[in-house]
Amino acid sequence: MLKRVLGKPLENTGALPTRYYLHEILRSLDHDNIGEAVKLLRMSKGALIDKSRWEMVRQQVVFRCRVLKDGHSRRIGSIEKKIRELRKHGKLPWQWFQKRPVEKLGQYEETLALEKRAQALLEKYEIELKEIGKR
Amino acid sequence: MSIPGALVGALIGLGAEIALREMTGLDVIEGILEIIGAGFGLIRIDRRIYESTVKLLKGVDIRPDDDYQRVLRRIDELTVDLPELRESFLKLMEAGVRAKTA
Repeated sequence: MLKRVLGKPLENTGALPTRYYLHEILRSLDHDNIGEAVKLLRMSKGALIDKSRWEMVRQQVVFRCRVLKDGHSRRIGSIEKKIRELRKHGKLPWQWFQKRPVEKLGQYEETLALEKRAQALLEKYEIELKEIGKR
Repeated sequence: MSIPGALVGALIGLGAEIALREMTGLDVIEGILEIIGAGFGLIRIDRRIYESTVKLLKGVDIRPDDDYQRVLRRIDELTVDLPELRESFLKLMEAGVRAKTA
């Protein structure tokens, strides 16, 4: 209760104990909210007593980042394959007047763009996390 | 459970604390409470980190037909430059294998 009332307004000051930030980072990690986790890691100072715990949590965020990135890259591969197939089969004469493949192609391209954006974002977070680790 | 016993205990404790504070000038009870609090805090965060480590390991994309070596290779790939986490994962996996064979 006290943590909820006082924690949130003071969170951005970086003045709270490291353990508060670690709990919040792990909560963000549970929801795959990497952006928030990176922000909180930047805020936390990493007090001497919690240094190893802080480092462990940082490594967990990096790991999750890589796992998610890996998932995105697999999905990108499969979407690109589907787009290639659709483009190839779309040229067949009996599919010229069918609207569905074109719509599908548009959806695939849209999803591909989103996946690529998410992957780039995770890449950026990973670089940021490495920089935080060097502090 | 005895209420008079608890009251006497509390009074003795209070007397001892006041006497210690007067003699040494240190707030002993507050210090002890702080240490106990910090200890509980450490236990809590350690357990939370452990739970998160288990969850992360479960979240790795592993196929049911993957063998131990393949899973190890996958963990190695993902934990390049993350030595502490790699060590924790290996310990968890070893514990899992030991539990399966037992």
